Amino acid sequence: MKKLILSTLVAGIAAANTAGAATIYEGNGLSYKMNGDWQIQLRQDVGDDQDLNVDFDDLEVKNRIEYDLGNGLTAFGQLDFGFKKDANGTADGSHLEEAYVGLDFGSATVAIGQMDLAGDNFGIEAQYENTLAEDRFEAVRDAGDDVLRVTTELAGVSIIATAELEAESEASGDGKAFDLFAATRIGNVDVAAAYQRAEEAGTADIDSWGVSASWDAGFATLAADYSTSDTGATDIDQYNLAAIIPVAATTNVALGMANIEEDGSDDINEWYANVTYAFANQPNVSVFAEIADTDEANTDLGGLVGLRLKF
Amino acid sequence: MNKYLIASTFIASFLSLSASAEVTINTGTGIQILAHNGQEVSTTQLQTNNGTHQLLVRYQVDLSRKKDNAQLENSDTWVLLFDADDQTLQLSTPPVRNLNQFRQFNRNGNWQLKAADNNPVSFEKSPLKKEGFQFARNYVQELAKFNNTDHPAAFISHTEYKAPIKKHANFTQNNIPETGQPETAISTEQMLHYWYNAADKNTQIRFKNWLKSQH
Repeated sequence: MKKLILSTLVAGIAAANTAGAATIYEGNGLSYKMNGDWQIQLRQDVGDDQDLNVDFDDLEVKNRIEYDLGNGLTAFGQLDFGFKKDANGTADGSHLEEAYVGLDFGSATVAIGQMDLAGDNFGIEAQYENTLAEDRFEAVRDAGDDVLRVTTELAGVSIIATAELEAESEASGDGKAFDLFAATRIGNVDVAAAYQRAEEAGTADIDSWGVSASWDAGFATLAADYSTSDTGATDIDQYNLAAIIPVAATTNVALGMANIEEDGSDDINEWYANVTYAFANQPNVSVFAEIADTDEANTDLGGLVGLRLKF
Repeated sequence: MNKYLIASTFIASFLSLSASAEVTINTGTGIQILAHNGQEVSTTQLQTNNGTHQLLVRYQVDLSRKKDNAQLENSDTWVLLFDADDQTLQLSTPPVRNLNQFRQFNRNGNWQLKAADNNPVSFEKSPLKKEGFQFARNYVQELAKFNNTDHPAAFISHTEYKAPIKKHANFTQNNIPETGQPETAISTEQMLHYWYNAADKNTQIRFKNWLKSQH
């Protein structure tokens, strides 16, 4: 429930003015919204002999249109562009991050295109920059470009299902995956579960599943997740623990750790601590700092400071 | 001497009542009050006098899944109209944790207004939409037009009554006449509106109860 945790985190420091309406145009049943997320860091990665650098972590512009078709039916389309690879000098020719269209029936939505898989919603970690994977779903596969997605809500349970088509005859063919994600809230606890069966070209199926819980304890949000993958040849388990503590109306501190255990290999642990300050009169502007380290051999402590603007 | 005593007591009582006659409106995370009784404000908490209150509010939530990915969603602006005397109210939304829930909230406008004892406070509501480009919205002007309709969420000032214009359902700026001047002949309905708004709170409640018994 990374989504839920981070919503809580951001929400906790977004109590003041929420300026920056993203709606550009609205009329005759059409609405056009634009969002942006620009974040740049001064960063030294965790690792061996890493240099300080300016890292463009996210330079995203999102475009969304919606048409009201009447009778509770809405058509929507989303086109997201990201420019961080260009800024970091690692461009691979594509600026497209998500591109999809769909129909919202009110009780369910159906979408088709390039987008994140359902398993990408899994996870509770609250780190700015991971050295280890966030969870097994991110480690195996969390996005696709031949994706069908259905989302709905049944008896208070949010359900997302995605299928990445194999499309072997096409240039976009890069394996297949089926993901299922479900989440609900029980009292002050958000719980979630996810499952994925993924197959890359020429490999065996990889089955992954995970569970997570996040408890809003008032003074802090305490969360944990566990996910595991069976690659056929080996099992890889991962768990995350995180605590997000609002220390002031504008400031959150997050502490967390991750552990990865692979059959036949030593465990790897990572820990992190970060602080986020959102400006009281403009909470969509924040500054943050983080330190992190792992217990892998020959790694040094890493750290970053950054500024983020979103609208 | 007696006159002075009575006058002093009266003034003291009046001042005391005035001092305590206050309503505080707190908002949940991400809710912004954009206007109060037709006047533009920009706050998350409001302290005001007793009486009828009209708020223009908007909800913003970040549905991001990761720290390096924002997904800000802004609701439509909503008009809420309610009565409150000597109360602390809390305006909130139901839990919004994904885009489906956000869309449902924005479609239905299921705001939650509760008193300090957690009892719900009834209110009228309407989305306030502007057709066309949204770069610059004049909430004062939009609300003035909205309040010239007879929508249940329209705010009718006690001191400046304007004739209602026939309009129901969702309000949009395009279908409202430019001016909402009173009609030349004052209708019975206009008089009913006037006297209802001129009445004190208890009288309004008795009137509402009487009205319900007429069906």
